[in-house]
Amino acid sequence: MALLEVSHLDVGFNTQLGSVQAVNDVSFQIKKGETLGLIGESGSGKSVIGMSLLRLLPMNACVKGEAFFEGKDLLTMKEKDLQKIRGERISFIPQNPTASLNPLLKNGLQVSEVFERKGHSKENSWKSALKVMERLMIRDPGLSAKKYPHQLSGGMRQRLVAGIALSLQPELVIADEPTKGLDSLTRGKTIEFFKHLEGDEDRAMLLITHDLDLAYEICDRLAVLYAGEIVEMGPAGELMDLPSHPYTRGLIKSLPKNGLIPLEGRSPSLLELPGGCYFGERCCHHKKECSCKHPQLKNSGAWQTRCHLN
Amino acid sequence: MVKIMKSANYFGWHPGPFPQINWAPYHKILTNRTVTVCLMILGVMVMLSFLAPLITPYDPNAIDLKSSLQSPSVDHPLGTDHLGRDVLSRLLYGAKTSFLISLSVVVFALSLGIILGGAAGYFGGLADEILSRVIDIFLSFPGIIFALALIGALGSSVLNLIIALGLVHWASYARLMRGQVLSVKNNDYVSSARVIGASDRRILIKHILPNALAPVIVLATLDMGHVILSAAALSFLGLGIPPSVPEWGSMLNAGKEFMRTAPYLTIFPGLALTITVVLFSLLGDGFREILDPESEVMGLGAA
Repeated sequence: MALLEVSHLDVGFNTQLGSVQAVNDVSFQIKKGETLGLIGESGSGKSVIGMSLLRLLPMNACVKGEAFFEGKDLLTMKEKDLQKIRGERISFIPQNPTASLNPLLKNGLQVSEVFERKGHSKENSWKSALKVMERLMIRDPGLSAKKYPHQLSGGMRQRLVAGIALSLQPELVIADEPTKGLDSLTRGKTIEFFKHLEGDEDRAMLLITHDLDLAYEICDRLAVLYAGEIVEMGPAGELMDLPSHPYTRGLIKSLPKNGLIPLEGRSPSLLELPGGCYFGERCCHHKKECSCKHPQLKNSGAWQTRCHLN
Repeated sequence: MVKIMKSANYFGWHPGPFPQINWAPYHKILTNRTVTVCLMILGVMVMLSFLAPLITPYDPNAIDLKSSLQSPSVDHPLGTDHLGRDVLSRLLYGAKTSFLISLSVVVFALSLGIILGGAAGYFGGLADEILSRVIDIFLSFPGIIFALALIGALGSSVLNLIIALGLVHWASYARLMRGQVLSVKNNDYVSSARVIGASDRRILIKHILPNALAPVIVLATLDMGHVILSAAALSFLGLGIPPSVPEWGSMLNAGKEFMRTAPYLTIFPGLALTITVVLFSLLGDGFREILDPESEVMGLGAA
């Protein structure tokens, strides 16, 4: 049985301009110990999926569908029960480590808070926090723990935030764009760090990123999102080597090492999605059928594609 | 001597040259000139007011009609009033009254404002709506008239004066606190705390309150001066503080009839009031500088 089973997830936001459909009918599964990568460009709904699973979205979000975590629906369970799952069984590595650390708490306290919350004494929590920081490859944890977040480098903050999320050994980690805003050196270290995490057999991970290299190196499977829906999902290596959806192909071609060929056009407004294939207008293999009928996800083994061409 | 030192060491006591004080946390306060100077002057004033019985030989309430309305002299450095009471003693004892009243009013108003404003901001919805309207109502009264009415209704005493002024002032703290909480609670670190499973209480106390408090503290410092002024105004009008308690406002009131013949009766309490209020204003400005996170990096430890 899958650890997390998301089916027909829809997320809309009520705004003054009307309802923005950020996520459309997304279904996926994550098995125990597996790493699934959600990739796609900005605004494709990656982060919204991650946040909706832990119900972190603002009040104006309208979430439909099901997300079963070990047989219990995360989207409908009581806030109190969810609070027990948060942090302990499913944890979240937020997108912006600088903003995600309380500027007035010392680094060590930010980590030890997790243990204190579980009922450990202050001293024990502090000791456990130092151990966590040591494992995070933070130099001289005793000294860093007594500093404030603004005194750490970006990479260290990133690892600290990850450490907070991992300290209670959760079964599932949702990592929201861990390499966003990092320079290439720090990014390399972060990738290294996540690779090291991925090695843990028991821990499943949902990695949300637009960093294709990171996704390729770490994930077992990849799901490509476009305009709020999954357009292609399959094993990471094969998907990156032999993408079948035109959008995935475009994404991979746009990487610097593959020639930096940009995708033409822009993704459609989520306020009014086109009738046919959402990618239709930008697709170089455009057919008549593409603009009148919305393609469905087609299964072929472990592979799923949403395209009329295949 | 060596023997004594040795025996002291035996009990685990190591005589060091000086006790080690960690000044680092106070670095920002100590390097801000305005704040240090204001704190020093105010500290001296507070000390003088509490040591008044040791400094002045006169009882502030001792009536001596023989020596009434004397100009400043060696015996009475600031002169005497129409009942022959020593102005310097009354000024020093009055400082104590003013500081204590002001402190109690600010603490009372601050706690009420932080709790109610914080609750309104954090919980939102109907609670916010109700509390905000109450705050609006309190803010819409002119302060001194509202305090007058309250003292009129409650009766004239020091406690009632504190309650009245507290009720006048809490709403501005509540409104500021509400706004602060509203902006702080949308920070990522608050949702991060929720993600690791922290409770509402913990989030409020550990994550929201400390980050929301800075401007409220600045306002409280500025208010210390304002409250001293309001209390003086009320006792100038003969409300709140009984005539037996020396207070700057009532001293001004008593002196106003002799302004031509004995101007020192109004000049000295007036000066004392002005200086205190200005000091608190400057202190508030200094605190704002210190607490503003964008003003210079903290000088703690090695980066």
